[in-house]
Amino acid sequence: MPSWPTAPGASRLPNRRNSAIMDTGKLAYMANQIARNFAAQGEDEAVAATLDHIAKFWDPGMKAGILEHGGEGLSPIAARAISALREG
Amino acid sequence: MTYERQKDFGTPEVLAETQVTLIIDGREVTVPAGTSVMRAAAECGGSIPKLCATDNMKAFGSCRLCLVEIEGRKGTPASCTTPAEQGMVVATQTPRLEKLRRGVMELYISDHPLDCLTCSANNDCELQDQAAAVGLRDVRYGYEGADHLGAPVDTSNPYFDFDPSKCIVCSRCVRACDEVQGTLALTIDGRGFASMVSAGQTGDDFLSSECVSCGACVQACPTATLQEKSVKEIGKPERSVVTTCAYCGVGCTFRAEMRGEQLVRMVPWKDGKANRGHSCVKGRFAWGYANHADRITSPMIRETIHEPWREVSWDEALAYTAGKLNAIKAQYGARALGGITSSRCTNEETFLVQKLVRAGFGSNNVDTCARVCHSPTGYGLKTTFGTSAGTQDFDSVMQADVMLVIGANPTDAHPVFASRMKRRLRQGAKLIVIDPRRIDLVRTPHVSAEHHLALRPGTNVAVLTAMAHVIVTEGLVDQAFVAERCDVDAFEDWARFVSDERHSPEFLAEVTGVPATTLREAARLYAKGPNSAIYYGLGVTEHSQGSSTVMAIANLAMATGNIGRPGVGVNPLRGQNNVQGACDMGSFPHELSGYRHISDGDTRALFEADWQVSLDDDPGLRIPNMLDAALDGSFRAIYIQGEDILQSDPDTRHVAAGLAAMDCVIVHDLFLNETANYAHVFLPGSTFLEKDGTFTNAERRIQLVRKVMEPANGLQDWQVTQALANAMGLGWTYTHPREIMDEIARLTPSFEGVSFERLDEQGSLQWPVNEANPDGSPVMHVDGFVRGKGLFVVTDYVPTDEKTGLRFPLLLTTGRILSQYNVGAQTRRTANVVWHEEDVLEIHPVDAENRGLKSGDWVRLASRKGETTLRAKVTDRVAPGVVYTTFHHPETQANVVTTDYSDWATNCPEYKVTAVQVSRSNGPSDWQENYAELADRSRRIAPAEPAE
Repeated sequence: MPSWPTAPGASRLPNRRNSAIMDTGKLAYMANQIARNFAAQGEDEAVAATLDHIAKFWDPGMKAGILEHGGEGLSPIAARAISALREG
Repeated sequence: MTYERQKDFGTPEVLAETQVTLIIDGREVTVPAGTSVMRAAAECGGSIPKLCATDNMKAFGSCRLCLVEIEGRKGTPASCTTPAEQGMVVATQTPRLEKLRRGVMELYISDHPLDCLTCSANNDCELQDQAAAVGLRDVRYGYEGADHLGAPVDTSNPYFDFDPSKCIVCSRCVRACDEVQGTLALTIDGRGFASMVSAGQTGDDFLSSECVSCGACVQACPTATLQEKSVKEIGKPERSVVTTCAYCGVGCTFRAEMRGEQLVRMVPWKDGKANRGHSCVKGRFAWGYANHADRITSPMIRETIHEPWREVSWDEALAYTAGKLNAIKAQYGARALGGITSSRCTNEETFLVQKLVRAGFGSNNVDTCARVCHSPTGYGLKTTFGTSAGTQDFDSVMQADVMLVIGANPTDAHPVFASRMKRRLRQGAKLIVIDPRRIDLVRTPHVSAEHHLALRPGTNVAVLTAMAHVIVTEGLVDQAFVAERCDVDAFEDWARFVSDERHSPEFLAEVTGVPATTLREAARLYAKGPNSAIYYGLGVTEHSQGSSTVMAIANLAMATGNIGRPGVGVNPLRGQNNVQGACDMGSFPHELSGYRHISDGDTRALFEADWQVSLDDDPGLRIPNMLDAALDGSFRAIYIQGEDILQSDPDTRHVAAGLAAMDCVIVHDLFLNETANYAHVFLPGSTFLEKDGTFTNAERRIQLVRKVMEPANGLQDWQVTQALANAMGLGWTYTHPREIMDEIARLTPSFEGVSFERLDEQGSLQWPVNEANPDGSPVMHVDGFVRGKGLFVVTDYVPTDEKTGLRFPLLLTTGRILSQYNVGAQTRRTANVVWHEEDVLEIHPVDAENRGLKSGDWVRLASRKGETTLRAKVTDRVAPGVVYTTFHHPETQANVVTTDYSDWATNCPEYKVTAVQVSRSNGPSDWQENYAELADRSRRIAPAEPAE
């Protein structure tokens, strides 16, 4: 009998209440993608725009997730934006 | 409303400032100059006999029945081709005219079967009416001679028959196909007595011809020659209700013609301001899904997705669902719950679902199918213009001198509007098409695009920036418009950016695949207009730079001053019937209705006061984020109304895994769709025929949807959502959707003046409807942009991360076809499958040759994400290196192949660019086989327990 397409260990998912969500590598990719599309505005403007975009469109769990991310692989613009997000 | 044909004025309305006054049968009538005598007579209540004339096409002057006498003129001119003139004195009924008309009618009837009592058009036949009108009592000749009475009936079309024995060769069908639809599939074959309506070439029938089954010919036919099969089977309608189509974003108004509770036919309503009396094969004919045997009308539940469904009462289903949701909320928090609103449902239903999520679930985790289609339009137009909507009404196209169509296939996806476009193009407007594929509009009868920029998929931004380069560097900017209407600093930054040589057509040609000369000519043509309008679709939005492309489009329109008047503008062609409305209603996780951000305290306070709840001030999760969060364990339950994300969303395996990870998936739909394979609760939905409410089309036009029959499941969708809300303890008390619209209006400034009463009076209203625009806004940004000054945004071309290579050398792009709609849940359950019974893969002859493929071969389509199999169609409609398919059939599951790359700003999936390989196949993929078996198992319904 074919197996039901599902996530590995889906039935044993942890009880996470309003905590960081998602694969943080994916969140880092998203942050880099946003930063890359603002880059042509100049670095300072791009950092501000990236920060503003994440603030406006990411849910709290995603924001917590990117803050948990160690910063590895983040572009300079994304890294500065995340740093600013951390500082509030 | 009791059944009667819509009044026919005989010839089209003329719009002219000069008026003329004439006397017709002693009555004085004033009409615009250029109006026909026939129409002038109809305007003052008269009714000149006619057969070949009808008011949605040009006068033809062939039937010779509409003759009149005009004082001071010789002869008896045809009133349809004679313009009314100042001081003219017309007689429409005289002994001479009576005699002439009777003679003409006698000839018609001499070659027409006299089977009125058994004819499907009996009592609904213009020939019959006119025979009575002219007082025909006898036919002196014809029955012994040659006639057409034995001509065979063409029954090939699934929706209508062609019976040439009843044809009077008035050419209305041929002219409707030419003038209204613009397909030119019909002709009059032969000469004299042998003249006969013919579809396509010799040997063709209606089905094999180029006929697109829009129904215009059937509607135009004055006899039963072209007749709906449904009328033949059921009989003449006895009542009718005007309502709005539930297919694409054009929003056609139809008259649902009923006999008892049975729908006999859908006839386009001439007063519909979106469709102006035209229709397509979907809206006109493909409504049979409403009564399809697959329809589920009882609620069902199950503990796990491995069990069969169990039919239960509404009370049990709602109590079970509310219990699950409340328990999950208590254990995991409000943000573990979310919902998806439907772009196929009404504004009122959509508004209630997002209200349930925000006010009931307590999170902002609400999203809508616009996430996967026009969310970049929302972002891009809000950023540049200040609001998320197209700028024009559809009528505007008739004043366009140049149309730039990018990433849209209107003849397939928005066919009724495409007919308007083609009409304008036949009048001489110029066309630029930017599309990797040679869509039908590039070359269609009497229409040929000036330029087709067959760009490489994924290079929209590069092409548009190169066009901007030409416009700026060749001095084609409308400096006065920019200075007066736009943020000049932002313009200067943008102009400097696009002027850089690296954005020139020559520099980018290698990237885009578009020859520099062609691109320069296209840019000049667009800039010089004088009225240039951009129409775009999902080929713009469904890219990793979808939002950038929308902003690049807005930049072009502002730079050339093509905003704020008829004939110009930026026009997103919306996919589903109520995408615009679903977005307007606050379906996105970051904003409330009217596109106001959830963090805006004043707006939130307005809703909190009205709803008597406290709202979360943080944005919620988008659909892809919900699925990711489900895999992470923080998102546990979802209420999905009228969407099938398993089939429609990208990377099917990921969607399946996300759904499978949830504790409670609630599907509210007409059918056990693909998503329902992973659901725990199924709430049966109602069709658009079974509900009251409103849809908002692509031109921001709000139109009433009127119930024409009782819901098969017993409840309209808004009632189901309300019942669920109340089962969760919310205490909602709406008794009719008009009360929901009243709430929308008091909470949403752009809907301030909207009510069911006003919509009923006006027919439709285009938002914003407010104090400044009490009758709505056909054209936006007339005196200024919603955001104040228009904002130019620098849009750098950032190539997608989805790359071709040795393993996956081709680029797949997906799209739609005329006869099917979205995931096909509706159209696959109609006779439309005769035109498209499976998804096929279009592949260029060179690529096919390299792989030893021919049309009809089974091929394996594989990407880094997955693989499926389908049949190949070898065609040069796609460029070498590009393949194309549709996503209408779950057996194919085209989205098994697509990736989760998405638009940087909105996460709209990049459906239009997937690196793939194509090879010969001898059977379905493992995924297809497994999925088919699982789907069968999942759809099991346990037999009902016997009553005690």
